[in-house]
Amino acid sequence: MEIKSENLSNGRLICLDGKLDTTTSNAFSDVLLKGMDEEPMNVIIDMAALKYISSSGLRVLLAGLKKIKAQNKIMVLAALQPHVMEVMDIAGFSPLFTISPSREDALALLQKKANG
Amino acid sequence: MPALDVELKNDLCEITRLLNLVEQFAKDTGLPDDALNAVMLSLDEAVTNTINYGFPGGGIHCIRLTLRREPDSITSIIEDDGIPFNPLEAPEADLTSPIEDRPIGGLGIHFIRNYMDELYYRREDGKNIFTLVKKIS
Repeated sequence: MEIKSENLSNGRLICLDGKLDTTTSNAFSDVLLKGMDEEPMNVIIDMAALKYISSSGLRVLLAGLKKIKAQNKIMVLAALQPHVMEVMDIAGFSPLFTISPSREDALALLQKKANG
Repeated sequence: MPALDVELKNDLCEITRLLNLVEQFAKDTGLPDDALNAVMLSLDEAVTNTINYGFPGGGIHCIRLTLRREPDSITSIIEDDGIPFNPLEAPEADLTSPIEDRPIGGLGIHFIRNYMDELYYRREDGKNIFTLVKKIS
């Protein structure tokens, strides 16, 4: 599991590569939640290379969503693979999140929000 | 009939190893991708639950996992000597509350019910034996 985080001009981009299981979700939690504490900004989570997610990964996403809403910022999930999308659907999570088909769409969405 | 037999410790770090073993077994036995995802998710959730709640007295315990690949199904058997727990009796997850009070607990068994075709539980010789069957279409 590889987690990369970089700050762009209008938000933070987190790229997930591998499997978000019970073991690896802790590292993701550190990156996502600590980053939000340090500097509140919009977040895009690029899931194009994420091939697996369990309830532990969903728990981190939900905690992140709650935190970012309290900060009046936006979190966008981008480029979900079909298996990951299916797990989100079965959990009843899909309606809670902003989901974009690609990283480019997610960036455009943040740009649109920034322009008001 | 190809089979895999592994012993896991009651340590959450074992989950990544578990998933890698299942993935390799799937590759070796030509398991379709959908079934692999279903089995990985169900075993991740079930074993995580056992590690988190099965051993309130602490100590090192062994969780035994057996996978059997049959032509039209894959069967997983999880055996542990934790406190008696029948996952089939777990309550349904809350999937509709607003996010502020959405409880995350219960999602694991919800996934298992959704992704598996047959589930069996029995308590035998002080052990929980949980059997999960995924049909392969």
